[in-house]
Amino acid sequence: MLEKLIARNNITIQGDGSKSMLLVHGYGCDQNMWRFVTPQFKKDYKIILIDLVGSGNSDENAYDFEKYSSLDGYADDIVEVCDALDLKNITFVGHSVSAMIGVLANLKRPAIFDKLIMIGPSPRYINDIDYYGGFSQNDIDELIETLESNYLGWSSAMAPAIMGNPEKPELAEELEQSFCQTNPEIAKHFAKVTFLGDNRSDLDKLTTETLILQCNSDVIASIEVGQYVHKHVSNSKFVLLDATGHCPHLSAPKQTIEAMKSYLV
Amino acid sequence: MNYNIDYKELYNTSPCGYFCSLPDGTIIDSNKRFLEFSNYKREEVIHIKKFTDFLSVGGKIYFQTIYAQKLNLTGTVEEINFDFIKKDGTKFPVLINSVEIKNKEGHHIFTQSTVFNISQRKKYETELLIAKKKSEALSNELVLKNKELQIGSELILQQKLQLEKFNQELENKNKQLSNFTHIASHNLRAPVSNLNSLMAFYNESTDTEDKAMLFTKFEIVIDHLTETLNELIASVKIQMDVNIKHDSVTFDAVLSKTMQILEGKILESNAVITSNFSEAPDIEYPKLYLESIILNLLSNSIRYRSPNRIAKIHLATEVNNNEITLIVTDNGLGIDLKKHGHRLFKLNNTFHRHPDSKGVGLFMTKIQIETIGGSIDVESEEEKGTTFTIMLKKKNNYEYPPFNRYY
Amino acid sequence: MNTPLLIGIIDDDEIYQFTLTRIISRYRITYKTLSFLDGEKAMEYLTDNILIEDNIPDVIFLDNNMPIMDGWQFIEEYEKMESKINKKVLIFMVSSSVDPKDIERANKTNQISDYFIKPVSIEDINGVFDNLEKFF
Repeated sequence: MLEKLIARNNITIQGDGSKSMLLVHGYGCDQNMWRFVTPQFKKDYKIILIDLVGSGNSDENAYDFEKYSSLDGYADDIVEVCDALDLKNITFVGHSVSAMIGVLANLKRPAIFDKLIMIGPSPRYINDIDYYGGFSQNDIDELIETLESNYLGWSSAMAPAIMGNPEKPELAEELEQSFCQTNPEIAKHFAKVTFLGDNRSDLDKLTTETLILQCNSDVIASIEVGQYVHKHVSNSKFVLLDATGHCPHLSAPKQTIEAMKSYLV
Repeated sequence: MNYNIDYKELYNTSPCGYFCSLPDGTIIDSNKRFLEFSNYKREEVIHIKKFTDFLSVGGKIYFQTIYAQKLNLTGTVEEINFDFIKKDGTKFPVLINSVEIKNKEGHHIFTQSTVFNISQRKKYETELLIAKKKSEALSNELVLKNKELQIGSELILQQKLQLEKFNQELENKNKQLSNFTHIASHNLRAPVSNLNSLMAFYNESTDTEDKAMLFTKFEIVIDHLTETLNELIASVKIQMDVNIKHDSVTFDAVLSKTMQILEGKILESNAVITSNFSEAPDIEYPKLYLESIILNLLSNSIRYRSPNRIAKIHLATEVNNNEITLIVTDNGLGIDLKKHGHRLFKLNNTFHRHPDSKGVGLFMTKIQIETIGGSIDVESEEEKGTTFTIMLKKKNNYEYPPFNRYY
Repeated sequence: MNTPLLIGIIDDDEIYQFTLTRIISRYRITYKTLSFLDGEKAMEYLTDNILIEDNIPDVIFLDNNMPIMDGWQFIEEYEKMESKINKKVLIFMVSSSVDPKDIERANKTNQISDYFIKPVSIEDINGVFDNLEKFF
C-alpha cells in the first residue's frame, strides 16, 4: 500500500526532526517549489513532500478525472498518505489551492493536524454576490485558452518523457525541463477544478490553529481574499508579507521562512 | 568591408521587443520595438508597468502560477505564448523568452526578456488547433463507434455461440429422433406387425384348437413388446433425469456389492475377479448408475466367458486429463467388432448364441454413461477377450445438457 | 415343377417365421421350408450344401435386423460364394425398417430381388409366387 502511494504521489521524505511537516504545492507546479524553504526546517522536522496526482512526477495513470473533479479527491489522498506514514500532529503547509485541500483533509481527519499554514489561500476565485474572488468566468476561460496555446504540440513531444521512460537516459534532461509541466488535459481539468470551485463554507468548520501568509500584491489571491479567509477561520493568524506575486516561498523565501518560524515557535 | 555595428541601434530596432524587469516584475528598461508593440510612450512604461500589465486576467493567472514559478525554479523560460494587449486595448499574440540575471552572490537582480510578434504564425497555429480539436472529436467519435462495434460484435459472437449450442442440441435431438425411429421400426414395428398377422389368422380361423394355439403366440409377442417398451421407458427416464444426484461412491464398495449380487454365477463359473482402484479410489457419480454399469459389465464378462479357460476379469481405474476412467478387461469369448461393432450398444442385439443373451445391458449402460457426460469404448478380439473403457466424466465436466446424448 | 420349391426363411423372430410359413402354406404349390434364426446359421448351411443343388433354397426371405449376422452381412458373405452355386437363388429382403436408406441399398444390391416391409401381406407373397418365372 505504502509503496503504491509513494509512486502515486511521488512522496519524498527528508530531515530527522521529531515533528512532521507536510508541504503541498499549488496549481501549476510540484514539490520542487519548496526547495528554498525546506532546508530551514530539516533540523526540527521530518519533512514530507508530495506531488498532487497529475502534477510533477506523480503517477499520471492514477489521475482519475472523476475522483479529481473536486478538491475532495486530493484531500482523500492527503489523509491516505498521512495514514500510510502514520503521521499525527503534523504541520500542514499548503500553497494556493492546496491550502484548501489541507482544510478539507483537516475536516475529514482532524487528529492528523496540529497546525495549518496557508500560503496565498482562496476559497473561491470567481466573484459572487457580496464576495470578491478577483476573477470572472471569462478570466478563467482565458486561462484555459492560454494553457491550450502553450501546450500546442505538447502531447507528442513531452508525453513520452512525462509518461515515464526510465530506461532512456536522454529523457532525463527533458524531464528536468518538464519542471512544473503537466499533461495538458490534466492541467486544464485541474485549472477548472481549482479556479471554479467554491469551498467558502468549509472555512467556518475549521478549528485547527491556522497561519495565513498573504503577499502584498498577489494577482491570484488578493489581500481581500486573504482577509476573508482570516475572518472565517476561527483560530487563525494573518500575516502580510512584504512580497509580490503568488509564490513568496520562491520570490521571498527569507520572509516566508521567518514568518513560519515565528508562528511555529 | 568594415561594418560599424551600433549596438544601441541594434538593441532598439531589432525585430523583437526587449525589456528588463526587477524580480517583482517592474520594467526598468525596454527597446523601442517593445514600445512600438505596446503603443505606449517610454515614460508611461519604464518604472511604472509590469509585463503582466500587458496581459489579460487569464494570462496573468498563467503568468503567476506557471511562468513565474518556472522562471524562479529553473532561471529560464522559453516560448511562452500570451496575448499582448496594446494601449488601445487591441491584442496580438506574442512569444516571450525570459532569463534571470543573478549577481555574484547568486541573488536574482533582474530578468531579461524577449518578445516576438507571432501574429502570422498564430493564425496558422489556430487553424492547427481547430484541426486538432476536430480530429480529436473525430477520434473520440471513432473510439465511441469502435466501442459500439465491439459491443455489437460481442453480441454477435454470443448469438453465434448460442446458435452453435442450439445447433448442437438440435443435432442431438435429431440423433435421438432418428435413433427413436430406428427403435420404433426394429423393436416396436416387428412385434406389432406380428400381432397384425396373428390377428388376421385368428379372425379367419374357425378351428378352436388353432385359435388357442394362435393365442399362445399372441402372449409371446405381447410379453416381448411389454419388455421392449419397459426398456425404452427406462432409457428415456435416465435421459430425462438431467440433474440426477451425484454421490460420493467408492469403487471397492460398488464392486463388492455387485459381486454379492452375482455370487451364484461367480461360484458356478469359477471366475476370478481382481481389481485395482488405487489411482482413483472414489468418484462423485450417481451411485445407482455406477452399480448398474459395473453389474452389467461384470455379468456380461461372466456370461460370455470362454469354455476353454478359467474366466479372469480385472477392473481398474485410471485418471486421464483429470477424468476418471473405469477399465474392465476379461479373457472371454470376445466379439468380432468389424461385424458387430455398429450394433454393440443397440437395443435387443446379441452377438452370441447364448441362452441368457438378451441384448439389453449394454444399451442401458451406454445411456447411463452418456447421460452423465461420459463415453464408453470397447476393444475386443475373438477368443482372446474384451476390454471396456469407460470415461465416467465428473459432474463439473459437463459440456452439453446430457439429456440429448442418446445415441 | 416336380421337385418341391425350397424356401429359406432367415429371421430371428420365431413368431414371424410362424406367420410367414402360414401365409406361404396357402399358396398352392409344393414346397419345403428351411428356418434359420440368424444369418450365420443360414450361411453355415449354405456352405455345407454348396455342391448339393437340391439342398440350395430357390427362394430366401431374409430379415435385415438380426443378431450375430444381420441381413446385410449375410448378403456380403453370399456375394463371395455366389459364383460357386449352380442355381439361381431369389432373395427377398423382409424388414421392419422403413428407413429409405435400407430400401435404396436393397434396390442397388443385385442379389436382392425385392424388398418388403413387415408385416408381409398375403398379396406380397402371392406376387412372389405368381411371378416366380419372371424373376428367374
